[in-house]
Amino acid sequence: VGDLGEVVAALLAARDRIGRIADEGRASRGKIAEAAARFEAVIRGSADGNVLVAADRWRRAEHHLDLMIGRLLTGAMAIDEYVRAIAPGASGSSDVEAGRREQAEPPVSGQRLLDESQDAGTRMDRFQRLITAKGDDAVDATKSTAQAIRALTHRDDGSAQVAHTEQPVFQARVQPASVPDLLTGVVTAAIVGVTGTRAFGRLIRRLRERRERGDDE
Amino acid sequence: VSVEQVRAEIAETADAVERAARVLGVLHSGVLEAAGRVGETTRGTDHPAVAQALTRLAEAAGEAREARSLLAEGVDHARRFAGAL
Repeated sequence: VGDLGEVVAALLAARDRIGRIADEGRASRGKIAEAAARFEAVIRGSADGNVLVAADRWRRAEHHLDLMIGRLLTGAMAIDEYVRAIAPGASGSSDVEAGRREQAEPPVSGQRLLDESQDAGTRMDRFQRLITAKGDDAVDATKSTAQAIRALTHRDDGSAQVAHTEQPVFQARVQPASVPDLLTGVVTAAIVGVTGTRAFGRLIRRLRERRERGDDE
Repeated sequence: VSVEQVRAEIAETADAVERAARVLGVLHSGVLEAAGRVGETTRGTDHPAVAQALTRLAEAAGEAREARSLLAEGVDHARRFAGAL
């Protein structure tokens, strides 16, 4: 991945994927909490060792899931911070928009993921196909957009190559305005439009809420 | 409530937790895959945000693995209890 647009697209796709995993983790946590409460209601008063161990393990698992979700959110925010550093304005959408999309598009259920994975093929293949499709679309769309812009500006000499991961990416920020910069801006806008960063708005909002409650980490 | 009912209830609960544990296994793999992609995309970069992201994702994967292991252990004990009723 050598082009800045491709780097940004790949990072945003990874960030969105992490957001979806956090959603799945949250859904699983709810199911586990429900099952643990049900179990404790059934075995109430029992001092059996197996019962106590089972209840303890499930409660501890809930705690680890909370930690997992917190780590994912923090990681996603760090990715976004880096994306903002190399391509200002390329990441995120408003919380209002994200909230609307969240209501319109409920997250894929974990059970559905599991059922699909058991139908055919390996679970990993299925999972990866499902949650990376959107990011891959974004990368493809970005490439197409970049090619179209290059054709329009008659600059097909590679001048749009503005950053490489092997080199200091901050060069892209300090270079004077030029056609490559314009291309970068347009490509970036395309990325934002295509990736539909629904998850990020939720991540930020939830992290803020967690911080306000003072229970983050 | 009969013993059979309790046994059935516990079996159902254990199945639900086991399914959640399997989903967690998939999520664990997904976190590793995402972290790998971020690492590959940012190779050669020493920006602190990248280090932060990779560290947090690795920790998240560890938490997922631990949670899955605890769930499975709990399922074993719950089924052992139900079997002994």
